[in-house]
Amino acid sequence: MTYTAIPDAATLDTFTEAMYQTYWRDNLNAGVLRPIAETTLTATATTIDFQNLSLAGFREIMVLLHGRGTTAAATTNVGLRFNGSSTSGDYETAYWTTNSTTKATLLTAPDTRVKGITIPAASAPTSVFGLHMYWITQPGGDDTGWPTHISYIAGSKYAHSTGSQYCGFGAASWMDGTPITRITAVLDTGDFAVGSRVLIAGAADI
Amino acid sequence: MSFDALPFKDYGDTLTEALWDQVAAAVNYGAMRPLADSTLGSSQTTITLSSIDQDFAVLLLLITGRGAAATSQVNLYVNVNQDTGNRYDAEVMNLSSSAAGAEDLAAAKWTIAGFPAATGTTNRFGAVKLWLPFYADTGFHKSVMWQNNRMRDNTATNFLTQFGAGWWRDTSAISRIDLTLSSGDFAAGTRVTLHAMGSPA
Repeated sequence: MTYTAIPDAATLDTFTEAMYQTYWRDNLNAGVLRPIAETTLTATATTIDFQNLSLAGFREIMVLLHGRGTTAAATTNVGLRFNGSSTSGDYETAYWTTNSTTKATLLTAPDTRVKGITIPAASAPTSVFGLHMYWITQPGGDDTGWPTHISYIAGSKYAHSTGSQYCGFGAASWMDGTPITRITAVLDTGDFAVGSRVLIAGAADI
Repeated sequence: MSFDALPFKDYGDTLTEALWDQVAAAVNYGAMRPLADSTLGSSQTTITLSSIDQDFAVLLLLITGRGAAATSQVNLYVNVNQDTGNRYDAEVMNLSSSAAGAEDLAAAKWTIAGFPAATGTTNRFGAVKLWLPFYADTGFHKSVMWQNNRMRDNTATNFLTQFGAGWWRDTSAISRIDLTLSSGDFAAGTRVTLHAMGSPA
């Protein structure tokens, strides 16, 4: 689906079924940036999993992850998987991250997930969460034949002290490229804490 | 209110009140849409967005601005809920250099951009995009992220683009945003647009 500009109408024009489908339903369901799915954890969970997603027609989706881990450490690494694949070689990520002392460029390939930066865990200050915003191009497999491209920006902190805050951004590929029907946020160790929240939103072509 | 995907309707179906309400909720509190838009007609010290609707999931603030102070560049500050206590943290990556990030700990505000000012290149404005996810939640400290450019003149070494992440050490819902500069007023023509997106049903 694509976004179709709504035309001007004249007095006594009839509001037709086609107008409803094109200008209201299709524009709102997949034309504009709109929420698709959302989960907020009320109990700890190993993953935050969205299954049976129907993303055909979306040009790009945003996955907003606001998370914290329960593992007995200051941080834990977060990742994203598609269609349940944890096969090494399915994912490649290049990312840049910095704190106040070191700026680093990292490449993880092959990998078992889109690698993000860390999020705070159990020994980080209370109520502090990390934030990742992923953008996934053509998630519905409308351009099959090449990998799916993912980019993200992220921020995380594990203490109220110098050098303990990070921001970063990355670019990744999911080598499969088939339509994404499942998105899973995973951690290297431990569970996601209560209050961890993921929102998926998407928009279509013009 | 939230976004509930609109159903297929067939020829001859009636546009019911319930369907109208579903469309209204999707437009008003579902899809990304503008909440506020202001362009300064004259210089002004503070730009305030107050009484922010609490029924959305995500806010996106777009600012195109310039300072009026007699200097080449001024910093853009953000405060929420009129809090000027030392409870703002930030980490900023300068994408134009290999230097490590700039850090703010327990600052009195977030510093999210540098805008050209009176002695900067004429007509040059700075731009910044600030995301405030889950701003209405009260269960955790607020996290934000931003991207900006800093190009106060046509000197290549003054071309910067930055990415930043910030935290506010407070669990309160954000209902007000104040924008100020490190010196002087915002110049006329400075524009602020606030967008919002809701949750799915």
